[in-house]
Amino acid sequence: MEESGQIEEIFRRYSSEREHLLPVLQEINEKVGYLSRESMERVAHFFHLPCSEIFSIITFYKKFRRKPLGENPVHVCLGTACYLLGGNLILDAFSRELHIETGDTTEDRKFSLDVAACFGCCNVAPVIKIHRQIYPKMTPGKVEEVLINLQDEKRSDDPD
Amino acid sequence: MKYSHIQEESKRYQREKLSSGVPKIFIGCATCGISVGALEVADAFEKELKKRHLPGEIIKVGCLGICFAEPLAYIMKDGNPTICYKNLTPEDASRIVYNYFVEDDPCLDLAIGTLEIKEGDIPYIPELERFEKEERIILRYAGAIDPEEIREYIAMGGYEALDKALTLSKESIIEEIKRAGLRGLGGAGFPAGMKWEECLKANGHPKYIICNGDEGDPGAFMDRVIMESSPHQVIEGMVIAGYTLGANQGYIYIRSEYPLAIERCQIALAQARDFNLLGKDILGKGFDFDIKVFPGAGAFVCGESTALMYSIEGKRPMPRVRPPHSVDEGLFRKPTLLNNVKTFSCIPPILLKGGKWFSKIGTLHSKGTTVFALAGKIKDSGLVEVRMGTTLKEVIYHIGGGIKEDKKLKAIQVGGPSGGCIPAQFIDTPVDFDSLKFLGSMMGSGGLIAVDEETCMVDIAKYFLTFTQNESCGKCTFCRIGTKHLLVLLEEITKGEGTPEHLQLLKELSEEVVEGSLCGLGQTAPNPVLTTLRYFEDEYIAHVIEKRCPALVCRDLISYFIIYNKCQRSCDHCVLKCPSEAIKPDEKNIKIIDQTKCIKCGICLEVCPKEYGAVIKVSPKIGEAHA
Repeated sequence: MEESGQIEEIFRRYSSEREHLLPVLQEINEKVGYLSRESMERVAHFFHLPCSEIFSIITFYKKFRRKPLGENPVHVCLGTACYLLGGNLILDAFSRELHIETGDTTEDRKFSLDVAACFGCCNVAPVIKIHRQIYPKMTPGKVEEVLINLQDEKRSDDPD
Repeated sequence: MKYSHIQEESKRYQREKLSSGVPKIFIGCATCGISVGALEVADAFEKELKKRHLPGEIIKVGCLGICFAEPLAYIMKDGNPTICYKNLTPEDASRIVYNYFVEDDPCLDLAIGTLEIKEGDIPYIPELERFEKEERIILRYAGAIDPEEIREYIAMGGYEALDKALTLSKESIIEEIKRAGLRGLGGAGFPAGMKWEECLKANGHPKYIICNGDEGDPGAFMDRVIMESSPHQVIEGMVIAGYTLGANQGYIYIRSEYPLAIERCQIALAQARDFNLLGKDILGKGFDFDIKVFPGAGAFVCGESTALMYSIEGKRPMPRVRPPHSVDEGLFRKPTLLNNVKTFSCIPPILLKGGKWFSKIGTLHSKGTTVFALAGKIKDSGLVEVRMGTTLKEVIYHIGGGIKEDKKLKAIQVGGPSGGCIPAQFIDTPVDFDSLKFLGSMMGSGGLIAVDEETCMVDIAKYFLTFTQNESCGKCTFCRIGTKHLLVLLEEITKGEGTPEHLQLLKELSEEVVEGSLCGLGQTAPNPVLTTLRYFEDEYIAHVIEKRCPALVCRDLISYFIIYNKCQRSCDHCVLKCPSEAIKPDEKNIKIIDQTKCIKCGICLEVCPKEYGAVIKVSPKIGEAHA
């Protein structure tokens, strides 16, 4: 579905009381993958709020993205347990392999890189999460392998 | 519908399920289990049963708390004790099905112990010492029931407390909670009975009930496990609160990083509505109450009650000045009761067994139990529920099994970014609200991270400050700018640019940030700095004076180095894996790191085979001249 169509569909299920603002933003963020300037304007219009207000809320929360998410969004956990066991070395390794900084998406939109503050699986730290899968006991050395496997998976899904 | 009917039906359901003669395979399927492959293990069990045309039922339960043993399963088979298996792989699952179900060999090499049920339907594993030390009230059903099947909870006595509460006066319920001495388990420890009473007395209508499941402390996962393993006990506690305070609407605010907790709470709410335990005219007693799940969007400050309420309202969640307190003016400026997941979980047992029973557990001023998430360098990580007053030593050594690789415990970080680092010498400290505060730490939400010699205390302070500085909402100047400057000071120290004045400045500024901040975030943000300065000043001095990181962590103060006579000439692991091409063999094929090219990613240390152990870290760093 078109981005605008997706957003209109979400609006149809909510009334414009302000308490629905966060759930609406969450849904757009989830379904479209990010919140573009146009989406923000639409939301502002729907809730009869100034656009700056929407911007102030979006930028407050970490979950809202203002850039499209990659097909494989990599979330590196930097919770305490993960950090102490070398989470930042893993983040560096992804940044190095993907040639992007935290919060960015690769040019081909295949990968994006973000930091997360704890998925609650500290017992298998350090972890990363891609889609719904948690990768336990990560090391910088395993990063390349994770990325190669994801690229291969894409290729084997491809009928051509 | 009457409660007695519902319970009867649930008990019948449970009896039939358990006595059908078909073996039952229970698999721990909370996030901790799923992340290490519990679903694949469940699939393997199912496939193998099908392949061999064997009867058997797979039941997905929550987390037993022994996360280190995940993926975990326990099997009930007629004529045998229930056996609990640890760290299963799909291959193990197939093997168990054949050996145990066909050959009657229970594969004891894969077992961790037997699973038994003690008084109050609480599961335990007698072979593990930790279960003797634990007292499970909040985690009573975790891992024992299917969280997506309300009848299992009801068959265990679930919602009986609600049924009882609906016949009691509001005052007598509050009296019972006061008698119990329950204190808010979100971290601050405010007496729960008093909070409920104030909210009852408050003028204004409607009133709201909020459950705070925005467990933002990195390293804490107790609330997640409770919501994923036994969501109904939280809901039951909330409905009782709703009835007591005359509220009709509740919210469970869950952080967005916990999709499974959100999903399970939603399923639980729908089932509770089907059983008339939620919604209109609950249990035919004329009381209406419903609950919505409100997923957060990733802001630590939303764990603060006033910010959380603004978040639900769709406003920018910045804490506000109190008074007015939330009990008088909370959500939508109406009287609101906000308690933590664990606090609500304690309500049903208190009403069933009485406040007096609860008040006998724990210490003089901290009653009941507390749940810790054990993580870090601990052997048996997971969840543990102990009586208040249990010592840190018992938690770390008798329950957690001690430190990994039998290394030396250096400190215990309690309470996440709001807490502090307690050095190993205070290991006999009992855990309760007051003793931890005395040591400069606090209960916080209950993350307990054991730290060994390989953790740098300056780095850990820097880590927490990075977190709080990032999460500061920006309202108070001292928190917004103060934490930033604290962080800059710490960064300079870890880069080897620190001076003795840095330490003095850190102390002074920390105290000012505490004084000058409105909410708990700023008031507690300097705790990690203050406690590490207080107990580990020598490490700070090593960084500042000797430009050395004793724990070999701070990147700018260490070098990687290959020991000449340990390097194997035929092995090329480090050369091939080094991302910056910093490692080259010399004429004898011994590898040498070019320090000018090394980016200190740690891969050479990881890939150098253990039996060689040629790569080491050294501090202070090797000068350019040595390279």
